[in-house]
Amino acid sequence: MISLTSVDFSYDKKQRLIDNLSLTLDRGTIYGLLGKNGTGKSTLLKLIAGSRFPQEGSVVVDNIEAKERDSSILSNSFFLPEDFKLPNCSIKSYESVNGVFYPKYDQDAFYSLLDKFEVDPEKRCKDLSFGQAKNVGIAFALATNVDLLILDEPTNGLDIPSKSQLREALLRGFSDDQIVIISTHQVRDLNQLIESVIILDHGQIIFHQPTHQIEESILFEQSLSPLQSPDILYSEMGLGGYINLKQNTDKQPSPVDLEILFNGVVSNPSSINNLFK
Amino acid sequence: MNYSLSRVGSLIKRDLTYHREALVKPFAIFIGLNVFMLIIYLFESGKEVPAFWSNWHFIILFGYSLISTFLVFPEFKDPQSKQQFFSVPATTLEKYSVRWIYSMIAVPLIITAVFMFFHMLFGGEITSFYRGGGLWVFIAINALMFLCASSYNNPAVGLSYVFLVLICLVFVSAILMRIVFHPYFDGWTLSSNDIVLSEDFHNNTKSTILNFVKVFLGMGMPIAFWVISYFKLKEQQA
Repeated sequence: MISLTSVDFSYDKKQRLIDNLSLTLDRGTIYGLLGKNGTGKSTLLKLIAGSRFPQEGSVVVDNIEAKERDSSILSNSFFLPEDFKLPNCSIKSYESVNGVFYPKYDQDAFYSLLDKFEVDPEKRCKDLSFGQAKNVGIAFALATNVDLLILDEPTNGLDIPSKSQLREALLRGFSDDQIVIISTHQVRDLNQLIESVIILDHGQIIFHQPTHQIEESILFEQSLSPLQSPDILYSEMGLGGYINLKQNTDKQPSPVDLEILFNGVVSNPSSINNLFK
Repeated sequence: MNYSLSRVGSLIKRDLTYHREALVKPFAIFIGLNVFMLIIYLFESGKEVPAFWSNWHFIILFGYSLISTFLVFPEFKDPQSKQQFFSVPATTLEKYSVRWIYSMIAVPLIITAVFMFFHMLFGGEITSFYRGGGLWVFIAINALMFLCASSYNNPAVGLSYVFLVLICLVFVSAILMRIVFHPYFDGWTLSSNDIVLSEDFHNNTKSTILNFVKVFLGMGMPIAFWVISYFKLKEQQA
């Protein structure tokens, strides 16, 4: 379990990036962390990974402070940053010298994933494109079988087949012991994967709900023209008409559209949060 | 404390794989320079034992070792590499000790071994290779370099801070001297060079002060720098 309590963080004294943030993340869930640019998503992930330290409050992973960078926590977690850097060696060498640090590392899974991503393991890392390097990072991250997997913009730079492979691999490899945190702007890529949505704005969590709860509470209704009704919490023009957010009073089945939800929450957080009270 | 030798070994293997090319080039240059000196020597005559390797050993040791210590944390150059370095599942002490081994043991030993090899190649005695002195100064300066490398993303910035502190220390020492030996000063210049010190000072106090300086420089300072380096590394963020 991950617990953030009253966390403050800033890069400069003028503006606090993360302000009195508290959050609890449980095992067996894939979390989607959404937010505008510069709202502190990557910083929040770094705080959880122990790369950054909170100025106030605490970040605790399995009863150990993340900033301690305890080897037992590090060997059971993997943080894949947005700009994942590979060293100047072959993919095989990279895999062999890093895999030993992770007790549950599965070498076969790594090569199988590389095969699916169509990356030649004989290649040298410096000869890979940005997307291929990202694929290597994703394959390694998934092969570690760690309990805490943190992915920052994992689909950036991936081609369409690789995005599908990532979704499939994440779903297949995911277990109830794991916590997966995915920070992304490309919500449509991972819409079906995310089980709990966290929206960060101005350094605070403005929305945190499981997907099934969102489905039960919010109706994503389509209309050809804009609806003028006090029930409509948010409306956005899309292809083929308008998508309106309103309370799901009749508990109709309503698949969550993360992009619309995000825009709705950011523009009208209090009304949407009131639906969950 | 959780310290695993197998993880230390894995870290060394990882470093050698990651930085193979960066390591091979300076080592090849180092060997090349020695071979070049050897060739020059072969064209000269009249010397029974080449003094070059024993004479230059310390200068090269200072230069090469200190530069390599300066660069012992190459990951600190960019935030991504730094973040990935701190994410490696090993304790800070293990990561620290690996880099300490490179800067304090591996590099100086390799340089010394190569120089000793060339020295003995021409019949130089092993006992005549090391002429004593300077070792503690080397350790102290190397420890200071290690502190700069572990504390700052850009060691040059760290080194500038250290020099600033040293300059401040010189000023403080000058002020103290001015206060303690005030009868001998005229303004900020010595009015007399005949500073009368007691016989007891020459017999006992002088040697005590010199011993203190030696112990402080040779043991106290390096240990202090290494301990501070560890804590600096522990509080580094990416």
